[in-house]
Amino acid sequence: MADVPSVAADEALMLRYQRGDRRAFAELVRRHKKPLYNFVLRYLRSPTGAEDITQETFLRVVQRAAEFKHEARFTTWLYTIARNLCIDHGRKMKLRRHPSLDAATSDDGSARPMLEVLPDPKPEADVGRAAEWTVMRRSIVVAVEALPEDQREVFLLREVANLPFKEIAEVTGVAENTVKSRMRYALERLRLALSEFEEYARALR
Amino acid sequence: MDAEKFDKVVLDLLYDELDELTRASAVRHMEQSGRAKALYSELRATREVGTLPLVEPPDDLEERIMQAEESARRARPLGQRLGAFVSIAASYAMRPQLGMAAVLLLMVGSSLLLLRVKPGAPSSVQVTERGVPESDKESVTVVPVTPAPPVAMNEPRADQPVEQPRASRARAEAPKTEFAPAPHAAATEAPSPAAAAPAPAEVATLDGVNADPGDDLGAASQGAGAVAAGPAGKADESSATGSSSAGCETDLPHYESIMAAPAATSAAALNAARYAAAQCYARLGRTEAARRTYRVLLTDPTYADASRRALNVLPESNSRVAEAAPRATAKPPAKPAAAKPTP
Repeated sequence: MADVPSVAADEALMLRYQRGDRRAFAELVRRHKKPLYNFVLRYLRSPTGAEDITQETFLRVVQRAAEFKHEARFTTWLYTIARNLCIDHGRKMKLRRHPSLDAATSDDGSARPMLEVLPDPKPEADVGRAAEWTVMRRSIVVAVEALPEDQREVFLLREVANLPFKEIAEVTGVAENTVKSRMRYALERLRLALSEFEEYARALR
Repeated sequence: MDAEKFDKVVLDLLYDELDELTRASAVRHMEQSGRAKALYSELRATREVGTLPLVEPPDDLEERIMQAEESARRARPLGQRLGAFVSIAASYAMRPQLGMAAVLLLMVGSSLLLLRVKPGAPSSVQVTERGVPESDKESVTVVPVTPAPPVAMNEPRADQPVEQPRASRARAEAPKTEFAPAPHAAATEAPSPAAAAPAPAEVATLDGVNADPGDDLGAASQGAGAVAAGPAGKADESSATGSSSAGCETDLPHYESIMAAPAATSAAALNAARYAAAQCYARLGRTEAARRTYRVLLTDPTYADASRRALNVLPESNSRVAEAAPRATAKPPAKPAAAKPTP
């Protein structure tokens, strides 16, 4: 679960940046770069694309800083920009080629395949458990990325970006009940896909 | 809470987005319903298992973002910078605190503006007005010409032959003073010497006369009357009234008594008496005495101009003629009355 920055502080930092305080913007980048990068990464399924879109998202924040109103939530605004950029990027990629989970994720082939973009297993775990951990994590990533797009974006916004359902409804532009319904279907699918790891996950935690 | 409502809020319960009341109600429903409890447990287990591992972004991502920010900030067009400035200014202007501060400032400013002139300020002047003010100059000149105005029935002309002409002459000689009495007031208050109020420029002179304890009050008032008609009033000898010569006969001894004791009165009052006496001399035909007195007054800058004019007029002896003319025109009504008894 992503770290939750102080909501009020985010808006205050953005207002400070509107007045020209660059340190406020740097603090916003530090707070949100990790969850935003992971959201884009799981949305696009492309590490290179995730870096570009993350950078582009913050660049849009800079360019549209004057449009930000202090009544709005910064995270809602940030993820709305990121989602729109992801949709545009996905459309462009669809015209080029269909991404493969096992294929190299960059055009030059230097990047790792998507399934290898996983955090390292817990260092204290033994070799056997580390192998199981890796398998489970891969299964989770596969299961999440196998979700339908509308369910996946809701799941990612809720689990990675840690946005409440009301804000997710604002980001995606659908009703809150629709968001909850999509989330429910997403969890049902994941439960079926990850049922074999349920006992193991509990044991690990 | 029933099963249908529980299904709607189960996700909120799972992600802890319910208020306390609804959450307690949902928990109570789970304790009573096995289906609800199983549903919640499944979702919770799936959430625990399906927690995505967060990947650390590249180390240089933050640096690249900040560089891009720097470039974008520099490349921002002037219009956009101006728009940003206007947006910031507008956001400040629309704040209620700023509006309240503006209203407060307006109230304080208006209060200071209204309280700026305080009573008793050094620049204020207190004026005490005595007597009845008269502003109509023409009515004053009518008083001596009209032998018996209707309002003058109470005027004790016969009973007070000395005081009345003095007051009326003082009024006649001060036609240009702002505090000259009104005609009806002149008739009713004729005996009062205060009716001949001095011109503002001669207030000090009059005060000096009155302040002298050894001086005669009548002489002072006569002096004041003379002063009122003095150089400031530009006494026009040729326009002197016909009754002035008769007044002079009675007033002249007073002036002479003042002139005879110069040490007993102030210089200003003495010169006022001299000026009045010189006028009387001229009216009575005592040209040499008048000339002598005017010459003395040439040393006083207050009376110098008027005395010089009077001296220029004296040798020609026109003043007597000029004074006699209106007197002659005023007397005809009396002549038939005097001629009646004669057969």
